Amino acid sequence: MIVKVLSLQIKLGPEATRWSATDLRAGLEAELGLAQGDGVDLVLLPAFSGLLFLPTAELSFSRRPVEVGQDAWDSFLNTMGEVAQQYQVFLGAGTLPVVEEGRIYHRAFLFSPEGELLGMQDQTHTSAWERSWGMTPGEKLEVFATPIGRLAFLVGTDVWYPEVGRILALQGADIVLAPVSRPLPYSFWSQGAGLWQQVQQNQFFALEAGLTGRLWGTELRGRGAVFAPCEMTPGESGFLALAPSDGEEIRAEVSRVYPEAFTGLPLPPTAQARAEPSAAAFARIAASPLPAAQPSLEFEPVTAELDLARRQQVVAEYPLLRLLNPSLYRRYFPTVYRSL
Amino acid sequence: MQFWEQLKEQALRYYLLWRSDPRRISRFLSRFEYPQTPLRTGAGTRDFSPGGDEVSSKLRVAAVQMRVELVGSAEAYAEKIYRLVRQAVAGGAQLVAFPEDTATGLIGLLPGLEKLAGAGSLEGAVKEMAGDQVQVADVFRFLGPATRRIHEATFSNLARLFGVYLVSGSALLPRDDGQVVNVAHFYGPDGRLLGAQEKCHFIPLEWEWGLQPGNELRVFSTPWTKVATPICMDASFFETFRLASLQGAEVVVIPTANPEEYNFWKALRGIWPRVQESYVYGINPCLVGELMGIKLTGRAGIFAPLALSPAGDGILAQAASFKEETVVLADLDLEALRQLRREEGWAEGFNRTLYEKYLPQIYDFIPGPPPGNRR
Repeated sequence: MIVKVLSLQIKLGPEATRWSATDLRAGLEAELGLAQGDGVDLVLLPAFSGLLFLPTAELSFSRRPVEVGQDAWDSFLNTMGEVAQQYQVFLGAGTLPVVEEGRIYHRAFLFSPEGELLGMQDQTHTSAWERSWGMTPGEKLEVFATPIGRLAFLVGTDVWYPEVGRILALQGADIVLAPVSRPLPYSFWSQGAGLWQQVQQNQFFALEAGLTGRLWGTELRGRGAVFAPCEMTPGESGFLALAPSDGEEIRAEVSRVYPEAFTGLPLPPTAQARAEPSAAAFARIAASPLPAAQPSLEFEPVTAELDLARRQQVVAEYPLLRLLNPSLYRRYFPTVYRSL
Repeated sequence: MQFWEQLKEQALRYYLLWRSDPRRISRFLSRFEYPQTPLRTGAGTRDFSPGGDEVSSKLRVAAVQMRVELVGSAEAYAEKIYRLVRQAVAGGAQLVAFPEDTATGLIGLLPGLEKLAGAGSLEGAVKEMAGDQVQVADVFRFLGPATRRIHEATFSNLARLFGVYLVSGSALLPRDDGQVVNVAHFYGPDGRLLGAQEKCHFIPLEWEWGLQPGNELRVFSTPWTKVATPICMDASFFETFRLASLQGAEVVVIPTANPEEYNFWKALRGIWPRVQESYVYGINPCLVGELMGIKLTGRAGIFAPLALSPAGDGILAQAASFKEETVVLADLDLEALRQLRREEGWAEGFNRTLYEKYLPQIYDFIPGPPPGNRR
């Protein structure tokens, strides 16, 4: 089975202070229309992108995160459900900081092609920056069974905590969605230490979608990619696809350490031919003209095909999880965490 | 006939023990030159106990990239190790680490083994030598007493003579219960054995060989910090480094013997991300070359959290070649590591509630036993 995926980056321009949620939705729908024409099954939006789709005229740039009220919450869920249903995709609908019982959680959302909310996942580990604005870590990790595989989230900072990936992998996760955005710097090496290595030590697929721009007085950086176990990727690099804007940076950073390594990395998606959108999608896009160029915001797609059967073959040949040593872990977990 | 076979076996055992006499090794090594080092003074030992002589927070370490070869005598082994330690100490190293399977070449003590090099693999050579009923582990069990004497005498003496901390890489040795383990030893500058660490995670081949994995992750104290020495495949799993760092290790040595063609990305799957996850320094000595059909590649290196590396790539020093013998050196700034952990809030980020909910129960869902495990 082949699952076609789209990771959609969002870049906020330096002067971004306001935009129309309606226009933003039109831009998103244009991207999804093209994706639908390509037969995409699964789409991931970036971290904090939920804030951009709230029906407010402008985004708050105060030093506290926007607290989503119930009306805005409902509107967001309705919007994302509609979009998922309209374009017949499983949709990782970005994230929102939400408030429950006075605590702020960083929450990701998964919608089905029928427009139903399949599940939510709170970020379970916090960085110093996130603690500074009061994020509370979640306390459970879920895997969602779907016809395209078992899906799960690594939200934000969770990509740098291997406990999370391991728990999801042993719950059977096939494809992990990682909406990630963090304060600068966020280098290729940071990404390698994050989602890339989560994939390598758990052998699941993963999508990363990032938001880049200034938020709450902090410069945030996102990176887009689709990952798989090294054995099934170009040059055994662990990358199935890279965001074009990251390409030159990665080339410079990796080549300095080992020049031959970059030749294994996949070409940026824009260098690949894109399938013509279906007639229905094209007609709809024509009927709702693309918004005028918004210098304040742009989308950057990263697409890939996940070969589930090939992954099973890789795992059969190198069954990494079967090489774990539970006797060792039972001796120390969880009490060893209390030693700090 | 059975008595005659037993007699021959016993004669071989005595022959191996004679050839592995620690006193021969000690006398042999004492004939070489040893420079004075900060840890080895003319007056004798320094006080390394807590509250003793003040120790700098900087530690110079060496990762040895060593070519594998069949070694037919204790003296040849001792001289090989001596040369590499001397090279490291000449560069100012205070802790020197050797690769996984450093002692494996001592199978060359078996008369005529070199004639089996064409067998294409170690298990193929064993089969040709002894038939289907003998596992690779059985060979190392037989050789174990001799290997242990040579390996331990070599590293203990060199640690004392050079006045440095030595990680002996690893050797395949029998325990008291007869199980053969892949074990690393850590020696202090007075030649004393500070501890041993068994490899806890195997590749399928090691299960097929009949080896036994360890079930404990130890840390060892030095005047600078605590050190852990898990082995090779142990670095494929975050659990290893997490256990080491949570028990106080700030330096983790991963002796490695990687049996595959070098690939930058696949090599990146071991010690490098583990260092980033657990905010420790990592030392990766590598065994390279070819033995009995097994091709080994490396790129020994010394790694740090991204923010503590000059280029922000987590690399303090790395061998230029993945197949040539060399020694890689770097300075570890332990105070900088501690400060980084404080600034990043490393300890505050852990979610103990989450771990108590899922660990270790989640490991009940491991999808099957290790392949090749005959137990």
